[in-house]
Amino acid sequence: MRGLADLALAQARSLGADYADIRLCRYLDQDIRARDKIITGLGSSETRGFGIRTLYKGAWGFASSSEVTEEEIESAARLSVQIARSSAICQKDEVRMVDVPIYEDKWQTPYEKDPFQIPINDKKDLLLKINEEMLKVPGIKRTTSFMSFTREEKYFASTVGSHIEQLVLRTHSGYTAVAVGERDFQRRSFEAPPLNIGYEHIEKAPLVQNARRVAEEAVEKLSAAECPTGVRDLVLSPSNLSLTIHESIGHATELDRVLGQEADYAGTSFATIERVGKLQYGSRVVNILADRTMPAGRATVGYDDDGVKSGKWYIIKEGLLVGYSTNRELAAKIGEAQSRGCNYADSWRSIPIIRMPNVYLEPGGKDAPTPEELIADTKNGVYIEGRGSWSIDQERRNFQFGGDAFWEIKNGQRTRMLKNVTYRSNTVDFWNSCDAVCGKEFWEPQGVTNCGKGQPPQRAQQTHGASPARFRKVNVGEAR
Amino acid sequence: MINREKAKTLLEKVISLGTADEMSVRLGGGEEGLTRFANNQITQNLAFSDRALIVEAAFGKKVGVASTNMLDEKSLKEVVERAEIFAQASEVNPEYMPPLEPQEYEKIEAHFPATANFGPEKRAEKIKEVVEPCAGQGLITSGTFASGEAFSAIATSRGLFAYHKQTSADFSITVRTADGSGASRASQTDVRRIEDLDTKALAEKARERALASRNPIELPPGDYAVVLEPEAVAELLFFLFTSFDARSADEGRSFMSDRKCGGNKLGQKIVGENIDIRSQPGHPFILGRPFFSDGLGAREIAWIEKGVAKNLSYSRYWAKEKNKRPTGRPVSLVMQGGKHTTKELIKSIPRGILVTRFWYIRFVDPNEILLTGLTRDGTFLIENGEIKSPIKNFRFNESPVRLLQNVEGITAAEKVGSSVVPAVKAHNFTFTSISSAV
Repeated sequence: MRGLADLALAQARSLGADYADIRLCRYLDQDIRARDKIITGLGSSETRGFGIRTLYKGAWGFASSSEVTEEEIESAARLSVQIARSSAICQKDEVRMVDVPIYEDKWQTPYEKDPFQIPINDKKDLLLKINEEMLKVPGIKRTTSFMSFTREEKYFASTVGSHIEQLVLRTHSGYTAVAVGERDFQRRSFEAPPLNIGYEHIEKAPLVQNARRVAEEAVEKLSAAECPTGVRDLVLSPSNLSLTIHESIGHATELDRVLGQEADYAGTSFATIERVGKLQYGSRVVNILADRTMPAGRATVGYDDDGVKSGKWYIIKEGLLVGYSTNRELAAKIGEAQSRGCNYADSWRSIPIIRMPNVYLEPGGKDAPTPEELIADTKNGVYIEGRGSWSIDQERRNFQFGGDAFWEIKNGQRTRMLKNVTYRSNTVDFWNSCDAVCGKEFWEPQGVTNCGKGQPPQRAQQTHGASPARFRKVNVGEAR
Repeated sequence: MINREKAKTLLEKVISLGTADEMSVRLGGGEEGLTRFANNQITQNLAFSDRALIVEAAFGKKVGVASTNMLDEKSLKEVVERAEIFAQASEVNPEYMPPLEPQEYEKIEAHFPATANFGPEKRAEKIKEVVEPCAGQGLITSGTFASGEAFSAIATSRGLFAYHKQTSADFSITVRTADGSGASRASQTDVRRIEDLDTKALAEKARERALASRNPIELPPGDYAVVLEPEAVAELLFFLFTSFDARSADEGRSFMSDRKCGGNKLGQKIVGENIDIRSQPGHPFILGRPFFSDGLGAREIAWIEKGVAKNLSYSRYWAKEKNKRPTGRPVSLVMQGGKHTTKELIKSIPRGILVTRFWYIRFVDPNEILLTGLTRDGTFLIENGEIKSPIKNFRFNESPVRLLQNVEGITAAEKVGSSVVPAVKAHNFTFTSISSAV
C-alpha cells in the first residue's frame, strides 16, 4: 500500500500540487435478512478502490478509480490535478488548511469476535428464532429481522508526511413486528444499537428476550388512543433522543453548514459563528459532547480523512454553544489553530466532507433523578421510546419528531399506550425546556446508520447517547 | 465504460464459472464528474469510475448473493464462490422466483456522447458564467453540476441478456441574498442531452425568486388554497406510490388496503377524477431504463385513471400468487397535465399560498399516507389572484391523497427529474406551524 500511496503523492507533487492525499480502501459488507420464517436475503459485497485529492494553487481536485494499479494511480493523480486546475476557473479565495502533525500509525476498532468469522448458521438461526417469538403473538402479520456487518480498511497518506492504516468494524442487528387490525396497522421495533464492535455485541444483546414484548406492544398500539393535542411534558428515552440530538444539534453544528457550503442541498444553520459563546442553546442541564474516541462509537476512528487525530470536545456546555465539528480547511476559515478531525468520506470514490462525530448528551450529576423519579414527578406528559417520523427545516430550527412507542403520563404514573404521537418545537426552545437528565447508570448509546449529506449523497454513521430526559411544555399532536 | 459486447462476454463467463442450479448476474457502472460550488466559488470537484458485479446463485430455492467491483479472473471466481457458499448456507425460500428467460424491451436511446464528454473545464466555465453575475449583485450562490454516463446489464442462466446505457447531467443553483432573508433554488436533473440543460435560465429563475422572497411576512398556520409548483407535486407523488405495493395492500399493511371489504383498493376511486398518473419509461422527457434490475421489462402502466386505482405494483412472486402480470415498481411517472398556466391558477385564487418546493418530507402515518415536511426556496401569499408577499416557510402535515382529491386546476406537465409532472391548484392544504428558516 505504501508504495502505491507514495507513487500517487509523488505524481501529484511533480504536477505542481501544493498538497495531495490518497485513500486506498476496501469495504466488506455482510447482510442477512429474515421475514417471518424465510431467510429473504443472505449476501455480501466487496468494493475496493482509491481516491486522490489534490490542492493546486488553492483549488481542489479529486479523482478516483476502482482499478488499483500503478498505471491507474498515476493516471488518477494526473486527472485530479487537471480537475483542480479547472476548479481555479471559478475560484476567488485560495483554500488554506490548518496544520496537522505527521503521523505514522495503525489503528483499529477494538473487538473480541470478528463477525465475518461467525458461522452463517448461527446468525440466521438467531434471526429466525426472533421472528418465531414475535409470530407467537396473535395479531402479528409480518415480522422482519436483520444483521449487518461492515469491515472498512483504509490506508491514508498525504504530502504532509503521514501514513495511517485503519480498520473499522461495524455490527448492527434489529427487528420489527407489524400488527394488522380492523382499522389500521402498527409497527414496533427493537435493536442492538449500531456500534463499532465485534459479534460479542449481538451475543450480549437481549434480542430474543425482547421479541415477545415488542410484538405484544405492536398489537397493543392497534387499540391505543390517538395522540392528544396541546402542550405536554415529554420524557424521552435514549432511543428517541438519539435522533433528536442528531438532527437538532449534530447537524446544526457542522461548520460546513454554518459557513454556507451545504446551502444548495442539506441547508445552513441557525447556530452561526457570532453566536458561539453567546447562544443559550439549551438549559444549564444540557451538556453536549462531540467525541470521535468513545469506545464502540459508530463515528469512532483513530484519524479522520484529513489525517487528523480524533478527539473529544464540548459543543454545548451548560447550555451554551461553544464549538463545532470542523476539518482542516474550514477550521482555518474561522481562525481556529487545529481541526477537530471530522472529515469523512463514505467511500474511496467520495470526497471527504465534514460529518458530525458521535454527539451525545452527558448524563446528569450525582443528584440526577432516576427515570422512575422523573415520571413520578410529571403530571401531564408523554413517555416516548424509539424512532419514528422525523423532519427538520434547512436551518435546523423547526422540527417535528415522532417515535416508536408512546405512553401517557398522568399524575406521576405511566398509564395507557398512545399512537401516532408527534412533538414539534424549535431547536433552541426545545433544549431550553429540558429541566432534568437522568444519571449515568441510565445512559445508553444509540445510533444512526443512514445519515445523508453532500452531493453526490454520502452516508455517515454516528452514535448518539443519552440518559432519559424531560422537556417541559412541548407541542404535541399538531400532525392531526 | 464497459460496452455491450464486453458486458455480455463477462456476464456469460461469470455464469459459466458457477455450479448453482440457477444464476442471475448483474453488472453496472459508469463514469461521472461532479463540480460543487458554494459562496460563489468551486468548493469540490470530482471524477470517479466504478462498476459493481452482483451474482445471485440458487441451489433449488436456497439463494445467496455476492458482489464485487473487481473484475479480474480471481475476483470473478471468488465472487461466484461466495454467492454459492451463501446459497448453500441459506434456507429454502418458498417465494424464490427463478431467473427470467429472454424478454422483449422497449427500445430507449438514452446515451448521448456530448453529455458523456462534458468535462470539468466546461462545467467550471458554465458555473462561472452564472455565478459571476450573481456575485456582482451581492448575491451568494451554491450548487452542483454533474455529467456522466452509466450502464446496466443482466444475464441469467436461462438465456436472458439485457444491456442499457444512458447519459445524464444535473445542475442545481441556490441563490441567497446577502442579508439572509431571501433564497431560492432551481434545478434540472436526469437530463440526457447536455444541450437541454439551460444553466442560465435556471440561475435567473433562482435569482428572481430569491430577490422576490426577501423579508417574508408571517402568516398564521391553517388550511389554505395552494398552487404547488411541479417540483412540490413530484415530491409528494413519490410518497403516494410507495403505498402501491400490491402485497402490502392485500395483507393490510398499506393505505391501499381495503379495510371495509378486505383485499385492496384496486378499481376504487381514491383521488379526484381529474387525476391520471402512469409509468412511461420511454417518454421523451424521461428516457428511462427499459428494464428493472431483475431483467423484468419496464413498461407503460396506468396507475391512476380518472381518479381510480387501475393497477398496483406486483412483484414476480406476488403476481404469480394472484394470477397477475408483474409490473415492477412505479417509476418514470407521468402525471397528465391540464390546460392552465401557473399564472392562471394563481389568478383564480382569492387567498392562498404559492409553494416552490418542499423539504424533508417524511411519513407521519402510512395508514393514510399522512406526511410532514416544510416549504422551501420561495413561499408566497396569493391575494385576489396576485402574488402579494413572500411569507415565512410553513411546516405541513398533509396527505397526497387528500391533495389529489382537492385539485381544482392543472397546468401542462413538465420534466422534474425522472418524472413529468404539472403544477396544481388545490384547496384546504394543511399547514401547521411556521419556520423561520430561509
